Order: sequence, then C-alpha cells, then structure tokens
Amino acid sequence: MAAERATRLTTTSLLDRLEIRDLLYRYARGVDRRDVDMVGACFTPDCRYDGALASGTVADMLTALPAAMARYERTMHFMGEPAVDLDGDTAHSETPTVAYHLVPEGGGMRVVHVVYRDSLRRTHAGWRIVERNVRRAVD
Amino acid sequence: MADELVALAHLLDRQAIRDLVTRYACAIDRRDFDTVAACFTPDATTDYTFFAGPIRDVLEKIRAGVSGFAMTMHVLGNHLADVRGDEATSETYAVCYHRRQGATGGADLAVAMRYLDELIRTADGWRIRKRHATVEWQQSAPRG
Repeated sequence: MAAERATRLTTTSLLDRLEIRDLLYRYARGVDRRDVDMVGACFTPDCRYDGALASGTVADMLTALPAAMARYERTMHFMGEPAVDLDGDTAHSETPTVAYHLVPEGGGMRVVHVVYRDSLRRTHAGWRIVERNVRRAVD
Repeated sequence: MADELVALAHLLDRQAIRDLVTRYACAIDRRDFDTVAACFTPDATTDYTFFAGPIRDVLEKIRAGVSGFAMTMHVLGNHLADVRGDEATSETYAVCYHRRQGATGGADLAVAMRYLDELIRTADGWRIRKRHATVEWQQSAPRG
C-alpha cells in the first residue's frame, strides 16, 4: 500500500469498498469459471499488467489466459480480505490469494501463494482495475 | 438522502448475508446444530455433493459426518452476493479442514467447496432456502 490512510467509514466509502471487493472476487470467479469476458470486464482496456501471465497490458494477460487455464482440470483462487485504500475516485488494494491448480489425470495439486497489488479507478461503469501487479508470496 | 438510504439498506443486506454464511461455518465447527438449522428455512433443499435432500435429513448426515472427526475448521474466502428485493443468491469459497480422531490419526483432510446459495428475507432475517455445495478438490493436508 502506497500510503497508510485511515478511510472514513461513511455510507459512500463502505459502498465503494464493497464494490471494489466484489470486483476483486469477480476476477477470481471469472478465472475459476473460465469466463474470459468476466475476467476482462474487471479491468480498463489499457490496464497495465505485470505478473506470471504477462508483462505489458491486460490484453496480453487475456491472450495468455486460455492456454494457462487449459493446463489445469480446474482452479480455485481462494482470496482473503482485500486491504482497500480509498482516495476519492481512485483506490489501491492488496489481496492475499492462495491459488489451487488441479493438475489433470491425477497429477496432484499446484498451490501458489500470490498477492494482487492493484490500482483502481471509478469509471462510468463502476470500479475497474487500471494497474495490476501480481507477486509470489511465501513460496 | 433517498439514495443514501437505498445504499445503506443494500450494505445491511450484504452484511447480513455474509454474516449468515459465516455463522453457518462457525456453528458447524462448534457443533452447534441448532444454530446451523436456524441458518436455513425449514423447507430448504440442499445438495452437498456427498448427500442431498431436505435440510432436516441432510442436517442429520452432516451431524454424523462431522462427529467422525476430532474437529473441523471451515475457512471462508471469496464471497459474492446478488440481492434482488427479498431474494438473493450468493457464492462463497470455503476450505474445510477435518482433523481425524486419535493422536496419530493421520493427516488432516482438506475439502474445498463452493457454497452456491439461494436466500430469502424472512421475518427473522435472511435464511438459506437452497444450497448447492460443490466439491472443488480434496486432499490430505499436513497436520499442524
């Protein structure tokens, strides 16, 4: 988190925090249901993306995603509570995640611990991720 | 002001639904089956993958199943809910750890589920009236 800031808990800020949390969880739902459109809708089209899937923009990530998902029988991106830092129409969040990847044909499970570090912006269609950085955590 | 009241009502519904799903998980781990039953409407139907049917029958199977373990811990993660008036749907990720009986009972059993719930607002608050618990994966987990 860029700066520690005590977010005032007004009705509006609670709603913003809930919408941002829903957005982050919708990303996981989209990936785990293999719904690339649902995943894409979480980001602005020009969102910068830096993670294992791509280093560039979200378009690069979305291009790489289907092949990455096809390697596994299923995935479960199990997320903890996102830490959300609101600042008007922008926000930053960090979401600790345990990503379980089930390998086909009894190949066992690949477990990856990551933290999603996101910058977000309020758009006319709701909150969207404008920059995402994915980093491996404990392992 | 009207908008703020609408927003507040929405926030309260979302929190109440999240509390309900969380209360269920805590009650299972505490083996407080009265509280578990109170999370559902009396006529709720459920499909827990391992067993399915009316909640009154499934509760007995859950009780018997949980009693075979020394303890359980249901860890909840991602939770999304869609509220439409007095009805709602929600999805909640869970990783459920089951500790086997005995000092050398073997590794814990971890079962990952998604609770897909249909909920209804009753005079006593939100209740689950239909639950589909899908099993995403299960595996032995090192005993802590």
